[in-house]
Amino acid sequence: MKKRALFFLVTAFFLASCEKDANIPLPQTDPQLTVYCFLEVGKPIELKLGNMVPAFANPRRDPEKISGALIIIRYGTSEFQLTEVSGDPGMYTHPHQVEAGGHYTLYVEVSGYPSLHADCTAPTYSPDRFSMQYKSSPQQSFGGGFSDSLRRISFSWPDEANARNYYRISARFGYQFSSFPTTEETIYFSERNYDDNNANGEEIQSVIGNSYISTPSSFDHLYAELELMMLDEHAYRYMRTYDVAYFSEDNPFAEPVIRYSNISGGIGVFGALIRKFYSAPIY
Amino acid sequence: MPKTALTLALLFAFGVCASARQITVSGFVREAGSQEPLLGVNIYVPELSSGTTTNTYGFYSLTIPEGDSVSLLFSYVGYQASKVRLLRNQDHELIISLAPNEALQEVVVEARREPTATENAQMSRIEIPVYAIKTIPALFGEKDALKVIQLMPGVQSGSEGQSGLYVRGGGPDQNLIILDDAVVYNAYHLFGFFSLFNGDAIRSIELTKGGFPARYGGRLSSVIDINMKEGNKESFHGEAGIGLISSRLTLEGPIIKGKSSFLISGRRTYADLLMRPLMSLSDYQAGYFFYDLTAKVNYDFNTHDRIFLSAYLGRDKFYYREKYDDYNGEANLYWGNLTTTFRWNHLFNKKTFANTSLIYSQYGLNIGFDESFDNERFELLFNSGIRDIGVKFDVDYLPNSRHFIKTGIQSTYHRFTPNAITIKESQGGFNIDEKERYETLESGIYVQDDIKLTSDWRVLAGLRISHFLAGSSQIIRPEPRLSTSYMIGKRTSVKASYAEMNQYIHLLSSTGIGLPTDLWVPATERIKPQRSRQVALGVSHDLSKPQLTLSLEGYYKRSYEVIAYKEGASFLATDDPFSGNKVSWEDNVTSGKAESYGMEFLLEKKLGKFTGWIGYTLSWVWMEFPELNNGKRYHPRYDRRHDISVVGIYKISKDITLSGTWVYGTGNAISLPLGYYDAGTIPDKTGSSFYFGNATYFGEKNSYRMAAYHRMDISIQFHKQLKTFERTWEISVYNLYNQKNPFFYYVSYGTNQNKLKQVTLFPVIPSISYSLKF
Repeated sequence: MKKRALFFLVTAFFLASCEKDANIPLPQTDPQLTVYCFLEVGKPIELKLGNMVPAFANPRRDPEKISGALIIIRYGTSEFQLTEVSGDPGMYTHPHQVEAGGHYTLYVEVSGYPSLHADCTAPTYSPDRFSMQYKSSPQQSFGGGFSDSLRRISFSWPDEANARNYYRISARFGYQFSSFPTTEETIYFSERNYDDNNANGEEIQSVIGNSYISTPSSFDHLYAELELMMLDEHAYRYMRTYDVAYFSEDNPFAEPVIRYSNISGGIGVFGALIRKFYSAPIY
Repeated sequence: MPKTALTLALLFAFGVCASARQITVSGFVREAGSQEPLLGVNIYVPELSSGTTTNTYGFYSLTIPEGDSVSLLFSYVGYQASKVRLLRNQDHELIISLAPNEALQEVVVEARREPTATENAQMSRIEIPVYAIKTIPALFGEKDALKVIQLMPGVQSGSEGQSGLYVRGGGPDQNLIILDDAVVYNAYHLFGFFSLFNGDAIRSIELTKGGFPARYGGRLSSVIDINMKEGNKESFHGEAGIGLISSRLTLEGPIIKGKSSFLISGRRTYADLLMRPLMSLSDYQAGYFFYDLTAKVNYDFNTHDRIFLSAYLGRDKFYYREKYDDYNGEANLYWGNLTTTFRWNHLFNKKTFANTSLIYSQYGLNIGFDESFDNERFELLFNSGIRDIGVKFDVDYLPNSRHFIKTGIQSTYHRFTPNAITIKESQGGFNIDEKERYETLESGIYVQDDIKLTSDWRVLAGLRISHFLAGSSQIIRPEPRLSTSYMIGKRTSVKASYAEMNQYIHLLSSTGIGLPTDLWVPATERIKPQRSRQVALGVSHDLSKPQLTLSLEGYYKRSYEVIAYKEGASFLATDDPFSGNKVSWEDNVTSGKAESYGMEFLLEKKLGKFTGWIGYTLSWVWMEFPELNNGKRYHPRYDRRHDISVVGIYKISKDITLSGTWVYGTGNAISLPLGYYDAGTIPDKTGSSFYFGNATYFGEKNSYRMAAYHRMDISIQFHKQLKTFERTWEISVYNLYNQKNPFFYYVSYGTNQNKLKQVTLFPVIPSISYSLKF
């Protein structure tokens, strides 16, 4: 017992000085608006408005959804005022269908916050074909008529020549068993965002994505679906930092991530995309 | 015609005068008693206003015109000057012994103008006084060479207590640390809190921050050239010390008197041994220790040939063992360096000295985990490291008193193992044996000439051609170097320098504080070699009474292809969390550029009862990476606007030495959370949510400053000469006024308000040590 007490005393001596409130001025910042708006070609406009609260506000506050904002999006000579969706605070919409190649500007006004400005141009290009390389590991049966296997796949698609293009992928395997509805399993990629730097007009190749699928030992057919998003530069740069922050948030040794923003006077992103789905049977 | 032109050029360049006969005085300068060679000793002929200095091995050569007898004055800080009168009718070979001064007495020199550091063409170089390492107070009383270097202007420490060096805006990876010609890759013990250089075995340390001589290459920011003692050739001596956390022992003496000697020095911490009894009752045992061992032997065949064999071995080990019922578990983390150097000095003639070195250097990190339960066993072993085998051939040629030419060639084979992992499972068959390995060859050839154009104007011009071979790709780059000094009057000189450097290896460091987990990796097709250009301009002035040297230097440095971890990346991220794909270190880093500029002020007093220096640095460092901070430039963590060091050593009497240091530094640049918000994402087909989790708003990278750092340490040493040995008691206090300096901050989340908490590492820490010398 004495030994243990001595051990703790020694430890306590070295740790005694360790911790106290920092005696420096706390970082101060004014609350800012946050905007997330990804204009999708052919779809109505949707925008989410919230706020950033100071880390050391007294009393402590949580981020809020912001209602009652004046939000105007201009396209050419047209001007659209977004309306708030009933029952979904902070969500604003307008039925205008986003046009490929259109240049849009955003203006947001909320009492008590600086007004926000941003602009973006919707992409025009979408590939007309894609290809995939598929590989499956041997199946491991674990009883009950189900088996587990690692299925690996990568995709490629043609880039448009003489234009700066940005892409983001999402993909899934789908299989059908007997008369049950189609089941889909997400394919995980270490990198979902691509640009055509050094690959102008050439084939863009994704990294290999993995999916462990537990399936019935026999099923009718398996297919892969690629969801390819052609992004403008703002959406691309934002999503890259978003993914990095998301993947590293539980790693205490990871470098802090500064998320990209193109919102003047606030935080967030005003970007645009074209979304296209490609599907092909594996067997 | 070309031959004639070449001959004329050589004649002009070497200043050879066919009509005047020349004599050469050459030899070695050594310490009286121990016969240790003395490097940088000034040899001056007042009648001719001509002189030279000794090289690393104490060799000198001076060619002067035949004529009447002249005096040669040998002077060296801390040693009694020696004057030799000789006839100028023939060549002379002189071996000079200089006796150490008591208390670094101020030397009264008869010569009118003793050559000083002010006159030297090379700038941005500081000789670290070894006596200061042994005297200056240190954390837990552990004397530390690198921490003394941190007290010099232009050099900054990273965090509280750390030994890592940041020189003129460069990271710890950009320092070339050489121990007897062998590169030391991780110079730290105990996660960076102590350096691995045991002051008892060190003969000299030189720090070069800019104006790099062509003989050095391979790093961008600094060269720390450390030479080990050779061992006393005349009699057997030793030093031993007992401190709070470690003990040390050094023995040296002749093997064959006057011809051969040895030195062996060791140190080990014993916190683990002291704690072991306290843990004996537990089911577990944990401990940490480090040790280092330095050894050197040499043999003089004659005055023309000498050989040396030196070695360093150091290890840190952290272990944890647990045992209960049928369970046995053991985890080990150990790392360390091993260097071995074989050197052969050969004197071709009175003007040409050569050294050939064969070098082996190795750094490795091992993480082991072994557990068994019943009949099941699981073993994991992770290795990371670098292994070098090198050869180096250097020639010093002193054709006359106007030229000191150095030329040489060196080549190093590197074998990098950033990751090697072995996993064995007795049941279940989960086995992994993966290794990532790179082999490269790094070479350099150089020539430099220290030219005395006039009695006031000196130029150190050099060219290094570096070569890097990795697989089938190779890089050849020229690295021009130029330094010049011009004397204004007798005691003031103006200096300027330009240097281009290349660095073919990178250190992946998530913290920059010298953790053993930092990985050395080679430049590749994707991750290019780093390179830098630096210009510096300075003024030096020697004051006669009191004997002070004042220097002021300004510098501007641009570095390219420097690397940093990408945002969100870390050394732990070797596998993608979702796809399970292997993530190469190349995927985790990004390249960019750095810019640093500043002014350094140093006022130094090397002689007298009171010695020390005041250093002040005003500096800016900027980094710019397309993939970091949204492409905007930012200050790295170690950007420090003001950095002040005050060092004083006062020999109160023959028996008592008092010393103290005070340091001040602007707080480190850090990213602190400014706010919180919900971050949105593009909803995909399977995701319906527009928002995906909380996000922290940092503003711009490293836009906030930690509190300024300041600290005072003091030490008092009581020496006493006893019958057979001299003993020293030392009492020191680290952080005398108990300043709570921040080590890091974190946010404590509260119900009513979040708070910023500061963690401090070291409060006031007194220590006591005992040492003896015989």
